[in-house]
Amino acid sequence: MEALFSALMLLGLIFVVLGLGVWIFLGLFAVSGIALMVLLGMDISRIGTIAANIVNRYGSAWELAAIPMFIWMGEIIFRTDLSNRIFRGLAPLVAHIPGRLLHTNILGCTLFAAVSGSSAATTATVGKITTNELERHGYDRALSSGSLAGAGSFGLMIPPSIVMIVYAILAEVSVTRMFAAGVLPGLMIAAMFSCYIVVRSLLNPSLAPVTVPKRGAIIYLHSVVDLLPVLSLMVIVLGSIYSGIATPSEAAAVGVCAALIVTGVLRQLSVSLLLQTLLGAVRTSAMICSLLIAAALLSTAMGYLHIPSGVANTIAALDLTPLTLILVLTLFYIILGLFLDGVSIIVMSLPITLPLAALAGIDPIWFGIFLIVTIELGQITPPVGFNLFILQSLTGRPIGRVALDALPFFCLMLAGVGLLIAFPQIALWLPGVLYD
Amino acid sequence: MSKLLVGIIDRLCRIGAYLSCAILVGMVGLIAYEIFLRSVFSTSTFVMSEFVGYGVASATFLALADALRTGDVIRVGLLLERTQGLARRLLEVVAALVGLASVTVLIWFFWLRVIRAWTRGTVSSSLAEVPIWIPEGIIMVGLGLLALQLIAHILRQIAPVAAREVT
Repeated sequence: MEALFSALMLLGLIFVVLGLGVWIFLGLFAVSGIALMVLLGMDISRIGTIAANIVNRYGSAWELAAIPMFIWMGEIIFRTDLSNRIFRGLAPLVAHIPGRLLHTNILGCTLFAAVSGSSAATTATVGKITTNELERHGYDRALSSGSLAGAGSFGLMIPPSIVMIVYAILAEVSVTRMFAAGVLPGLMIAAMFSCYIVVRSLLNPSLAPVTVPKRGAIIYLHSVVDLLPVLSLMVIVLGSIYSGIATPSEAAAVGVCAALIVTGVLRQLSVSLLLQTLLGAVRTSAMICSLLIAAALLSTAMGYLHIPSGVANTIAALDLTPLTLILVLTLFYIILGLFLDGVSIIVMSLPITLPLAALAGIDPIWFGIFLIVTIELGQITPPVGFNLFILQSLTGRPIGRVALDALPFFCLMLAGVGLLIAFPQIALWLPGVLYD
Repeated sequence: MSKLLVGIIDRLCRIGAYLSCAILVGMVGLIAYEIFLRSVFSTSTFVMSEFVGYGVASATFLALADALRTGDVIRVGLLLERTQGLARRLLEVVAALVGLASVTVLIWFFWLRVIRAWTRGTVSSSLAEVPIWIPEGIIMVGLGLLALQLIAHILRQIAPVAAREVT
């Protein structure tokens, strides 16, 4: 009972401090400190010693290094004309499928997600080309921005993925297995999106106007040439992991080197590009890593307050079936996703929900994939949805409008969660085949 | 006066970010070298994970203050976006003070760690035997920059100067 009281106090405190607009990682430091002081009566020197120790230990975890490096790689691709090439390469390939260029959103995001670890980078990189091109050709704006919002979140799901690395560090599971587990669910949801576009375009052909496509082998050859840079990066990064040459963290360094070589070959490498991409990378990664470190302190504070075990015992006493538990958690994460971004959600909730899942006998790899899909949902729900923010700035449409565009894709993704629950093998089959 | 101070703090934070960039490049290089040694000569640097660990901590904390200034560090905007004028400025000051309090406690206890490691000459338990006051001292410097940037944030609210002077 006492643990539940502490949990509610802590939750209230988090709401107030974060609601005030304190930077999230600083807010979590403050909340942890106040909770230990007020609820456990610890003195400041004990709290400070614990906090400094955690900052030092978790801050220097070398697994974290994958985060700045994958972000740097994404920045390099984002600031060169690789996105242009992806679009030019894909356009002829989809010219004969109902929905035509709309599929460049889905395929482009899937491809880009395989070389980038973040959904914001994916949405922005693909969107800065497709948004204009689709509008110029008179495609339906709602379908165009909705599909981009949905597909942009593949960055979280398709390896390499920064959120997956974060989950794997916190849940102490293998990053490689997580990467393998994300492939099929990601492709499945991509296929669902593409089918939806096909169906909508068949029902109402005016959504995707007819352009006379050029035919001939030359066009397809151009496609291959345009897609070559992104495909080779993909093969190098994923190949270095699965061939065992590099661990996932090292693969990030391999990816950076490969991206630099590719931009060099394309004659786009310059000092200012290097500096811009580096600054962008260290800032974003400072944000994510500091959040992870703060979450480690919060999680330790929760441990001292016996919150995870207390909440787990309370929920266990309810005798929920694993299915009910998962449904409750789905709802819980969708609600959190309304207000918070993905990494914050994972780091704050995992100390509680992971033991719950373990108690119910849920596979931690499957749980990670489930968690990431529900977090993808949060990327496209207002009032706080990062992909919606990006689309708002790309298209100039109000956030409510963009959210409405994304609604069908939200529902499709929710159906994807349903399939994942009904058939856990969608996530678990590939890592099983590769590593058992 | 306050404008000058904010300017100096922003410069310092910018230098921190540049150092962080250099460290990131170094980390990539070290890992690439390790992979090269391992796959070609079947040997190792033996200290790669230790140094990459120091690198990621230093890169994170040295860039943190600059990231805060450019707005890359996330916060919940629900209340901030709905207030303006004096109320908004008050809210910003409160947020910065809460942050400053936490950072100050951290800096103090890092200072104690660094001093202890320095006087006892503690080194890391690896082949490299790195004096641990160095990596921990870098984290402390980063936290110090963060504290300065939070003070600059408060100064900007009190006397609104051009907040984005250095881009």
